[in-house]
Amino acid sequence: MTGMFFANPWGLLALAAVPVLVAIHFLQERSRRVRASTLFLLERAAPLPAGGIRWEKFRNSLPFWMQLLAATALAWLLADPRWIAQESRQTVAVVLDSSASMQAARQKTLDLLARRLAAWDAVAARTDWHLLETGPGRPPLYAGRELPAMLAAARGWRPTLGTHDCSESLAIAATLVPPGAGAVILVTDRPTEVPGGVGLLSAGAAFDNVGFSGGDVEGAGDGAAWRVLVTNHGAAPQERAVTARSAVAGGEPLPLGLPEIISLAPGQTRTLQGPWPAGAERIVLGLTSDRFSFDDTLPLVRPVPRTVRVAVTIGGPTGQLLGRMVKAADGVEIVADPAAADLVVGRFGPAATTDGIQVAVDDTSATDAAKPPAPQAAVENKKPGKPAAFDPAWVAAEDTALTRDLGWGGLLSGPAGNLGLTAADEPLLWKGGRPLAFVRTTGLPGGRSVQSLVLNFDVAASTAARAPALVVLVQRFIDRIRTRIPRPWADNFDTGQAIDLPDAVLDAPAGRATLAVEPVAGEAAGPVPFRGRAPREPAFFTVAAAVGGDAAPARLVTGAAQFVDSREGDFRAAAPLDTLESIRMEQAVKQSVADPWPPLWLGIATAALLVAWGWKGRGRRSEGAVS
Amino acid sequence: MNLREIHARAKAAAAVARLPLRSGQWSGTAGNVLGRGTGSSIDFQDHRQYVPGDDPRHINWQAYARTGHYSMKLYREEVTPRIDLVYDVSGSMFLDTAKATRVWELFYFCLESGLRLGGHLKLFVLGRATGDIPEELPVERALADGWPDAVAATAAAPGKPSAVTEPAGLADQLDRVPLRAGSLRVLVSDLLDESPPGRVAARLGAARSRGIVLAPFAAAEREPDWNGNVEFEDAERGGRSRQRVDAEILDRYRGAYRRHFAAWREECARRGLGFARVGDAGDLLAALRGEAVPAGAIEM
Repeated sequence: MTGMFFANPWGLLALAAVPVLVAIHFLQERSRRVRASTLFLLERAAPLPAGGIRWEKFRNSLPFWMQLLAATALAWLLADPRWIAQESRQTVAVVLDSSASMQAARQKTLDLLARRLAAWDAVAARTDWHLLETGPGRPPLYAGRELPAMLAAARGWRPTLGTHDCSESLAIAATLVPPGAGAVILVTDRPTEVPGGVGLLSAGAAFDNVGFSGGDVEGAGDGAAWRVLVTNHGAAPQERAVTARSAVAGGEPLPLGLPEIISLAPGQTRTLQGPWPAGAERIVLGLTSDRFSFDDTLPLVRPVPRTVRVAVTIGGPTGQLLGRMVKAADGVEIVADPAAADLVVGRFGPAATTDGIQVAVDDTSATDAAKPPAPQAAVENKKPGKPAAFDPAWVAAEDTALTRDLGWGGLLSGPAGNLGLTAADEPLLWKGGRPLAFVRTTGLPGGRSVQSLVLNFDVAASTAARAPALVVLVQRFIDRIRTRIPRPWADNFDTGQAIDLPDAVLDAPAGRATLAVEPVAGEAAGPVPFRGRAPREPAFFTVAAAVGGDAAPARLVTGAAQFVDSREGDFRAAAPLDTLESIRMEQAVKQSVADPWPPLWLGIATAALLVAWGWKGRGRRSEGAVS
Repeated sequence: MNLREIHARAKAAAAVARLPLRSGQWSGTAGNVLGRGTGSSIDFQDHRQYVPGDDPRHINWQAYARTGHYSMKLYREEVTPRIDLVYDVSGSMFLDTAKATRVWELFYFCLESGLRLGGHLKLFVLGRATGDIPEELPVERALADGWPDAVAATAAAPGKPSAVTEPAGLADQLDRVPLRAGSLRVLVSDLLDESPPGRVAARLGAARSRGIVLAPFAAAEREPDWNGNVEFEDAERGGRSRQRVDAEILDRYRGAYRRHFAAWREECARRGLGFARVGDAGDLLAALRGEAVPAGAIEM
């Protein structure tokens, strides 16, 4: 036995009888009336009060102590005392909800957690603690047997994520807890549906929050303008002051005009916009601070797009069609010189040195006189002037990032070309057992490689112009190529957003890319290894890496991380919640043994009451005899 | 409470015990109790020279035969002693039935004993309230139980609340009693009063009188069973007050009680007064044997 607790603490309410008994015995049930002839002598011994008194000093008596004993024994009996077994063991996995909304009540939550877990610590002789946080890929914060160490680890917890699903983290936590010997506790700030047996603890409270719910920069050059959304998440009208200031890297912020007072009705979202200040690369918009300050500042940078330079080297209907598809994509610049292009649209060739979109089957409707014919071995040259008939076979799509969620039923074409796949190819579409489209990766000297989207059918003789899926496929491929371009760019990101760097950068022998974060308010931190995502809190940042053959790292990405998850800013559903006690008591009962002497306490209580009753009855009888 | 029965018991006790009239020297009209002066009793007192005018019947002729001078034989006078019986009828005297019974027994004992010894009795009932004049009650009325209404009511129902709210002090009342010189002054009172004992004792022993104080008491007064919260009803004033009494207070009370009566005893002794306390336990004669007889306040 290492400790004891009460399985039914409400039973201790029986102890409320103790002060009542004391009060009764202080008040005295009734003063005994005595006729006295020697009061003047009693006054000499103890002066009498002038007007009589109701409260008297405590009168010691056997009935009092018997009643006290009975009340104590009953309280003990009703409280159901239990003793923790020496060999008892439990595992408690605490999962902290890392949603950014937890920041509003973070300290209160940690204080509440410390108090509640102290009670859990007493449930078993040995407790294994696990501290996890929700969110994908988050490492455990603590695992061990020391509650203070776990609480210290919890103090370093920073909830910054947007709305996300906690079920995966809860499932992981559940695997850590042996059945019937522990519990999983989700610490959040609002009522949440959780699997059975998972305890909920919340110190959150509803309040009216106003915050930024989005921001962007539109236009370029002198016509650029910022535009932000401000949302009143509360249930009452709110007023806020909006400020804007420029933020020079490493310099003092410069106010941009006077603060503007805005009024928002409950649930209203307002759009605020203004011209981008000349010469500024960064600006910070701010709102009057409230309890949830995470969404009260919005950093913005002037975007510098990563433009993909595309050269179209193929003519005829196929070239025109593909050209239109390419131009429809954002951030694309058509160049004439294939040598200056990042992406070349042309005929299929085995010796590509640039990323490209290649057509492996010639037009059957026209010839391309402007360009030299591709090698006979590589490109099938169907008979010109006679369109091939549509192949009735179905188009089957592989589940890849380029084809996911696209419908290919509208793409009618002739049969697929005779090109076969190599080990380095990524098939995308199939028709009649042959690849209709695939991505071919070709290695180049120096460790470089190029990727080509090979369209293995007669594009011009197909319904590709009316099939949105192929347009999306082309644009997705262009975006893939965009991530491979090692040129600096600037953009505004969500906090924690993934940032794709070119493979050439990531694989550079000069070392890994570094991330330098410059908070909106506060000192900039030194560079840290870049882990593929924007900062988790609103801030300006830069990603530097060695580009190409340069040994010195150069700034590759300039960005602003914005927290704009409006769901996290809505605190109307936040509420305190604590479902731990029943689970804890259930666990405690499993880990303990019951008091073996309930009949003894019941007997003591009964005997004490009988003695008290008998004593008072005797007193009454003796008084009656005297009178 | 039946006063006639009590009277009868006291009268019987008076046949056994008596007031100490025989041992003193009294003055008064001719009677059958030796007085302090020269008289015509048969008790020889002294000799003196004959002077003309003396009664020749008292010339000591044997002495004249031996000496040739006339000398006179003197004899004690016999008087009817004056007895002033002062009866305190304050509320405390009738605290409960036992004490009231003993009080009435003592009073009737003194009354019957005085009559039996041939004394000239005067009864004084001390006034109950401030301003009341102590009342002289004819002996015949007392013998016929013709008590004043207030006293009669108290006698009929001892232990009832007193209607007196401002009782007069014992000494003040005694000062207003017309006590006679050379009398036996018997005070029947429980002495539960804050009057100075010396003042009362001086009054009783003044004017060549002899005083006797018979103080009845209840056992509940000497050893009360108070414990805890008690609502006291003042037997003298009738008021009520709450008081918690614990062992410590009870001890202090007992000490005050002892000192109170020790002061009375000491003052009476200093002035040659007989002083005896008479408890309410047992019969009257047994109670008198306890302290009154050894102290000479009562003779047997």
